[in-house]
Amino acid sequence: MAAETKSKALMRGNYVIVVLAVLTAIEFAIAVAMTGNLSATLLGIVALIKAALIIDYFMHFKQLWTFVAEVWYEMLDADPDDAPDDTRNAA
Amino acid sequence: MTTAVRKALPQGLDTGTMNRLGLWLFLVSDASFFLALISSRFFVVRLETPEDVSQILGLGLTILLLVSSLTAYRAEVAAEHGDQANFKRYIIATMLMGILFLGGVGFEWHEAYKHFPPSTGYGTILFTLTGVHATHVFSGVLLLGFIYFKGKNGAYGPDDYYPVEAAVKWWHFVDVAWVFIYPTLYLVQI
Amino acid sequence: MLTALWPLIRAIIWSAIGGAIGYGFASGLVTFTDPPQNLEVQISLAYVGALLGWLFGIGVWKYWGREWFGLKPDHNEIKGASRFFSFSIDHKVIGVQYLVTMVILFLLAGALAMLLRVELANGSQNLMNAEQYNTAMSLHGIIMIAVAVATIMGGFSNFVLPLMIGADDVAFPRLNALSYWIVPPVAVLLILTPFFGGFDTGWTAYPPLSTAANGPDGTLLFAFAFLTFGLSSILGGMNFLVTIIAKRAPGMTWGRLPIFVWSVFAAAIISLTATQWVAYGLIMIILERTTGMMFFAPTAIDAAGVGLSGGSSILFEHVFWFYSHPAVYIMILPAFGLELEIISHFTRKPVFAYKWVVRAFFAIVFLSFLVWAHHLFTSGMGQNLHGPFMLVTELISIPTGIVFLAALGTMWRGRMWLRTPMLFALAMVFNFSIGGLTGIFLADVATDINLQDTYFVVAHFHYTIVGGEIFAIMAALYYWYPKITGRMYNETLGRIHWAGMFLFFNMTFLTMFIPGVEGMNRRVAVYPETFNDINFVVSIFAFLMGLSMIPFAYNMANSWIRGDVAGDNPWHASTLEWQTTSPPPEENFEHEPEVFEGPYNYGRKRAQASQRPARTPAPAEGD
Repeated sequence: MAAETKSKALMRGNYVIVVLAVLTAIEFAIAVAMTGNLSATLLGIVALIKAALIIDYFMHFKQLWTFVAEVWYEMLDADPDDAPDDTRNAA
Repeated sequence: MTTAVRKALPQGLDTGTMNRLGLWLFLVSDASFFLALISSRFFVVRLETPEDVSQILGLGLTILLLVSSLTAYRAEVAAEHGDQANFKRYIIATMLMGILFLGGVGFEWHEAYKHFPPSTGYGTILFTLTGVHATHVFSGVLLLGFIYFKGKNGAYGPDDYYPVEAAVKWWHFVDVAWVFIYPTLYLVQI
Repeated sequence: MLTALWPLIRAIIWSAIGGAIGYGFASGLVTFTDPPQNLEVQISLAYVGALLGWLFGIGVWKYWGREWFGLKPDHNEIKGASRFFSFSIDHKVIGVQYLVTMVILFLLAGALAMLLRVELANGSQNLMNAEQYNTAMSLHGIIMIAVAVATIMGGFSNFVLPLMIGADDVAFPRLNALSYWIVPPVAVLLILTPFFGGFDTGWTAYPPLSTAANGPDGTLLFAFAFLTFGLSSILGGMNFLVTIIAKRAPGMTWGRLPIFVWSVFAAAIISLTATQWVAYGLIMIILERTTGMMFFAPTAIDAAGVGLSGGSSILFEHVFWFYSHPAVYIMILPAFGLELEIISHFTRKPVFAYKWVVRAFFAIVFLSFLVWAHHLFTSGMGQNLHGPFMLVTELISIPTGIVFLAALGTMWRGRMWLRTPMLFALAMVFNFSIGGLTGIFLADVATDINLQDTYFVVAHFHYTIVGGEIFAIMAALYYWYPKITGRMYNETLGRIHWAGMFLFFNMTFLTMFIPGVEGMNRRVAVYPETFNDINFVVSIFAFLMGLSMIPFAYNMANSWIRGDVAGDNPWHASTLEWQTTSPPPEENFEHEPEVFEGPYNYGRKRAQASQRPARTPAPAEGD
C-alpha cells in the first residue's frame, strides 16, 4: 500500500465514485421502470455491487480477508506434529 | 497502548494489525445488526412504500453520503502521505457533509411524521432504520472530530495514521449501510 | 477497605449523576409530546445515562477519555486484593472477576429454582401468587442464561485461553475489562425487576405479552439488562477471535491449539454475529413500549381477522431465536472443548480425531444459524418451512455426534485418573447424551407439536445446559482451581459434590420427563391434581440437588484460604498454562514460551526424553 503513489490512490478514488454514481442512476432507473420482486432483486444486486466497491477499494477488505483465508487454510491443513512452519512467527 | 503498562513480549502480530482486525470484526458484527434491521422491513410491510415518500430527499441523502465517502478516502490518502493541508480540508468537508446528512434526516422525520407516524407500519420501519443509521452517522462525525482536533497539529504521520484509517473506515461502513438502506426504504415497490 | 472500594464508589456516584441527567432529559422530552402514560421513557433514558455514567466512572475516562482529549494517560494500576474491585486490565484478574460473579449468580438463580420447586411441590398455590411465580421463573431463566453464556466465554476464556496459547494478555485488554464491567449493571437491573412490578414473560419475552401497554415496567428493565449483556458478549467474542489469531506464541500453529481454544474460537464467531439479532429484538420491544411503534401489533385487520399491514409477533420470535438458538452453542461448544480437554489430560491420551472435532465445531457454527425456526413449529409460521427446519435441526446431531465419538475414542483403552474434574467430565458425556436423544423428539415436527411447552422441553433443556454445560463448568472449575488460586481443593468434598449433583440431577430431570409426556404445561404455578405426586417427587430430588451445592460452595471458599499449596502442575498436564507458576505472574510467563509439539502428546517417543512439548526457554538461546 505504501508503494502506491498518492496520485494513483486519489485517481482510484475518483474512478470508484464515478462507478458508484452510475450505479446509483441505474438503481433509480430500475425503481422507476419496475416494481415487485424483480425490482427488489435487481436493486439488491446493484446495492451489493456498490457495497463491494466501497468495501474493497475504500475500506481495504484485504486486511480481513487475509486472516479469514489463513484460518480456513490452516484449519483444513493443520497437523500438530508438523515442524514449525509458521514463517510469521519465526523470529 | 496497554503494552506500555507491562513488558511487551515480542510475539504474534503487531498492534496495528490487531487493531485493524478487531475493527473489522466489530464491523462484521454491526453489519449483522443492519441485516436484522433491513430484513424486518420486508417482514413488517413487505415491499409496500407509500407515495408520500420524498424521493428527491432520499436521492439527495444518498449522493451526499457517497460523496462524503470519497472525501473521507481522500483524507485518509492525504494522512498516509503526510499531506497535512489536504487531510484537514477533507476531514472538515466530510464532517460538514455528515452534519448536512443529519439535518436532512431531521427534515425527513419532520415530514414523515405528518404522513406516516411511528404508529403505522411503514413509519415504524422508517423511523427505526433512519434513527439507527443517523446514530451511526452522528458517532462517525464525533470520531472525525476527535481525529481532526488531535491531528490538526500533525499528530498523524505516514507511519502512524491508524486512527485516521479507523475513523474513515467507520465512516465508509456507515456509507455501506446506507447503500442498502436507501433501496430498502425508498426504491422498492409492490 | 474504603480506599480499595473507592473506584467502585466513584463509579456509583457517576452512574447516579448519569441517571439523573437521563431522567431529567427524558422528563423534558415527554412534555413536548403526548401526555406520558407511564414512566417508561424516563426509566429508559435514566438507565442509559446511568450505564454511561457507570462505565465513565469505572474506567472509560481513565483509559480512553484522557487519550481522546489529549491528556496524559493514567497508568496507575491498582495492586493487591483491591485490584479485583477495580477496572483491571489483567486478563487473569478479569477472569477471576467473571468467575466469582457468575458463581454467585449461579447460586442465586439456583436458590430461585428451589423457590419454584416449593411452589410446584403440589398443584395448589403454596408460596407465591401467579405474578410472583412468573417473576421468579423468568429471573431464574435469564440469570442462568447469563451464567451459562458468560462463565466459559467470560471466565475461563479470560483466565486460561491466553495462557494456553502462550500470550502475555488478550489482544485488547482495556476492552476486555470494559466487557466485564458491563456485567454488574446487568445483575443490578435484573435484581431490581421485582421492585418494578416484576416481569412475567419468561426469558424469551415474546410479544404481545412483553409489549402490553399495561404490563409491568419490569419487562423494560429486563430488556435493557439483556441488551447490555449482549454488548458485553459481542465485545468478548471479538476480543477472543483477535487474541487467538494474533497472540499465539512462536510455534503455536493452528494445528497445535488445545481443543478448548478451538471451541472458544467457534463460539466467539457466533457471539460476534448472532448477538446483534437479539439486540434488535430487544430494541424493538423497547421502542414499541416507549414510542408506540408497530413492529408486533398489526395496524389494520380485515374482516377475517388477518393483519393486512404492520407487524406480527412472529417477527420477534424469528429475530429472538436467530440469536437464542445459536446462543445454546455459545454455551455448549466451549463446554465440549472443556470436556475433551479434561478427558484427554486425565486419560493421558491425545484427543481422538482432533481435526474432525475442529471441523465438527465449525459445522455446528454453520448449521446453528439455520435451525432457529424449530422453536416456531407451533407459532403459526408457514407450514412449508417445517420440513426444512426439521431436517437441518436433525443434521446438527451429526457434528455433535462426532464430538462425542471423539470423547469416547479418547477414553478408549486409556487409564483414567478419576479425580473430581474427570468425574464431572464423564458425567457430562452421560447427561448430554440423554439431552441430545430427547432433543430428537423436539426437532421432529410431529412429536414437537405435542410436546411443545410441556415439562418435557424443560427437562430436555436442563439436560443439555445443566447436565452438559454446567457439569463441564464444574469440571473446569475443579481442574483449573489450583492454577487460578494456587491452592488445591478438597478432593473428598469435591467427590461428595459430584456424587450428589450427578445423582440428584438425573433423578430430578429424568422424573420430569414423565409429567412432560403426559402434557403438564410449563410456566404455570397451579396445575391439575393428577400431577401432584410426581411433582412432589421432583421437588424432593431438586432440593437434594440444591443441597449438593453446599459442599461445593464451602470447598471453593475454604480451599482458597486454607487449601494445600498446589504446585505449578498438579495434574502433570502438557498444555502451556501448566508450564508457568500457580497463580501465574503478571506477565504470564517468565520468558516467552516456545511450542515444539501438539498439545496432547502423551506417551509418544520424543526426540529428547527430557524435552517437554512446550517450554519457556531463556531468551539467550537465540534462534
